[in-house]
Order: sequence, then C-alpha cells, then structure tokens
Amino acid sequence: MSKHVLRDGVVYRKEADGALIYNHSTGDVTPLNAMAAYMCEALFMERQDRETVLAGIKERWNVRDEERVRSDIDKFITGMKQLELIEEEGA
Amino acid sequence: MDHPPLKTIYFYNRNCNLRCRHCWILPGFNEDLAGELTFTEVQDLVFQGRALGLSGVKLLGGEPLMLPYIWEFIDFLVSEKLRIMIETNGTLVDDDIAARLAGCDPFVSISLDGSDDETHALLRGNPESFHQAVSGIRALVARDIRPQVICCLHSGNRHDLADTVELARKLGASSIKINYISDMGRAHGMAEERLSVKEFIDIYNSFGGKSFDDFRILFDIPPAFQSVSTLAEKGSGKTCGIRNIIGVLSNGDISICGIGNIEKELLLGNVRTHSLESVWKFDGTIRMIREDLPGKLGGVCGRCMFRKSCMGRCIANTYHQTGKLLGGDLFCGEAYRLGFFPETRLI
Repeated sequence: MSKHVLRDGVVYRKEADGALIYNHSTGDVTPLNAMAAYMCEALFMERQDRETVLAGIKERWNVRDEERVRSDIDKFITGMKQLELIEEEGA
Repeated sequence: MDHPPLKTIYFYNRNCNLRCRHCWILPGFNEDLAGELTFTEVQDLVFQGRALGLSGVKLLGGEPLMLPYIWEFIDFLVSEKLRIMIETNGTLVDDDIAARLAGCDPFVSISLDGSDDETHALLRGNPESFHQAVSGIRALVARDIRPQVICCLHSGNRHDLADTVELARKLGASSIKINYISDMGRAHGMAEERLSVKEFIDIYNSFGGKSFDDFRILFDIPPAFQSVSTLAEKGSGKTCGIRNIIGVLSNGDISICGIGNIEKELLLGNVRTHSLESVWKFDGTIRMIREDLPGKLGGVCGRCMFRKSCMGRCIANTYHQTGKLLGGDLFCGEAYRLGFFPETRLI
C-alpha cells in the first residue's frame, strides 16, 4: 500500500498533549490528540507501514480492539487526505 | 455577492440597573435616555437584516431586559425564527421571565463574579445582585434553560474561582466562561486589580482544560494559549465573529459592535439615517475589516498560526487602546513581549 508524506507548506508542531498541523496554503490549523500525533509522525514523517504503526500504538496505549485501531489508522489517513495535508510519497 | 452574510445583530441597550466597575460599554444607570429606537424601528432593523442574511440577534447592554419593548422584541424574533442570545446580569430574571424565555429556546449568559455576595459585589457594587443572579439562574434551570455563567477575573476574586466554577455547575449552568478584564471603559480604573497576562495564563493552565461531561469550563484566552485538547473540542478556539456581525445601540447608532458607545470614531451611521444594507455593503470600516482581516493583522498576530480563526481576537479593544483596529491583539502582544507566547504557535 502506498505511503504518504506531509505536503509542502504543511507544518507539524509537537505539543505537550498532542500536536498541531498548520497548512500555509489555507491558514487552517488542525489539532491532533496524542494518538493522532503519534500516527502522524509514524506514518508521514518516519514512513512506517500501518502494521508497524499499530504495533507502536499497542506498546504505548492499552489497546483492547486491534481491528478498531487498524480502522482508526485508515480513517486518519483518509481524513488527512481530505484536508489535503498529505500526498503520496514521490508525488 | 461581494459581502459575507450579516449573521448576527448585536443589539445593545444603553441603559443598565447596575454600574459595574469593569463595564466597557459605559451604559447609563437607571436613566431616562432620550432618542431611543421605538419597537417599530427595531422591527424594521431586523427586516433589513434578514435581507442581508440575518440568522440571529444577540441582546446585550447595559441590561437588555430593561429595554421597554423587550418582550415584544423577543416575541417578534421568535416569530421571525431568528436565534436569540441574551447576555444579562441576571438581576431581573424571575420565574415569570424564565417561563417566557423558555418558549423561545434562547442562549442565555448570566454574570456571576464570585461564589458569594461580597466577592460578586467587588465588581457589581451591589451584594444583592449576587442573590438575584443566583435566583435568576435557578429560575432558568427550572424551566430547562441552562445558562452560561460569565465570570470576570481580577485579583479580588481569583482565589474564589474554583468555588465560583463549582457554584455555577451545581446551579445547573451549561458552562462557565472566564473573562480577562481589558483596559476599556470603566475597567480603566482597575489597573491595580487587573490580572497580568502571565497570571491569567497561569490560572488557565492550572485548570488544565478541566471540564465535566455536562459542564464546560471556558477561558476567554486566545487560541495560541489553549491546549491541543481544548482546541480539539467542538466550538473551542472560536473568537469574535467580527466579519459577520454588526452592532446597533438602542439609540440606533451603528458600529462594528458595542464599541461605538465609547469610540465615536467607530460610529458608522444611525438606522434612522442609514440603511443597514448601505452600511453593511459600503461602509469603509466594514469593508476594511472584510478585506484586510486577518491578512493585514499587525503585531504578533501577523506571525500566529491562529490568525485566520482568531482574527486578532477583539479588534475593538485593540482600537480603543492603540487607535488601530488591526494593530494585533494586546494580550498576545504583551505575552510575546514578555516571552510567554508559545514558540510552537508562531509561523
């Protein structure tokens, strides 16, 4: 499955309780909670695959429903695409 | 359409039954004011607003419940299916009024500046106003209207904030909004009691975004200082909707908000001599706000990632203190100057 990176002009800022993403082209700010921030860093900055990200989440949070987290990762990627904050690597 | 919809008219009664020490509007005190609009003129104002996209009217003051035609006005707004917001000191709210309000599903804010009459009276002047406001909140809650409590913070009530929050929650309020007192209007005389920017930020941080399932604690603090969890909450990070509102004083004066009562340079006309359409579409100040906000915001706002949503927060306050509408928020400017502005929020 293809990997994604943050688009040019998209700024990621780590915060104490999550992260903020600023999009220079729109001026919009997207807040991410701690798990979403972890996913963002792992998926789009460290280019990890979904299963590695899932394993990392299981290490850090008490995961009771693995399938749900897998689905959350997919939803997160879809949401980031819809906000035009990420693009396919090499695009 | 080259203009955004006029979503909300902020309608300010220029009269009040209290003389609060921090009030920025400088209303009259139980005065027989001359030249006030008639109800017919107010109806016409609303009709003009509808043609520009009006969806709600916020009633403020002074004390809005002192308007001589308040019930005709509210009934009219209900019949027009407009959203009603009321910001009151609560002293006039009893069961009769709560029953009437219950029929129109309003958003009501009531001031409560302490958990007891002495603390409340430090700003309001009259200890009885505390008991009246509490009674007003109870009356509304009994009619299934859960008001927002507004608490203005200063050095004399900061020790009492946790108790005020708890009182508001126990009374059944939906939320408490904790305001910073700016250097405007009568509050100019409160220099020694005004909290510093650092103190207000520290108090905000000490609450750590604490809220309850059915009760929210909201600070009137720029988004640049809000936690990520607060920013992620629906409705948080919102500030002044300056691009979609207009202020009308009860004498018909039009301004960008209530600032026209203390800054005559920001009077844009009067509904007796100017159509709302002409002001909304063609007034130079309104157009400047529309075209230059937030792009030409000065100060630290020009570098802040939240400028698009925050819009420089209260540009009326900035104007009052600097003579420039787009000079940049003074709270943030002070924090930046003192080194408290979060680096991660700068771009």
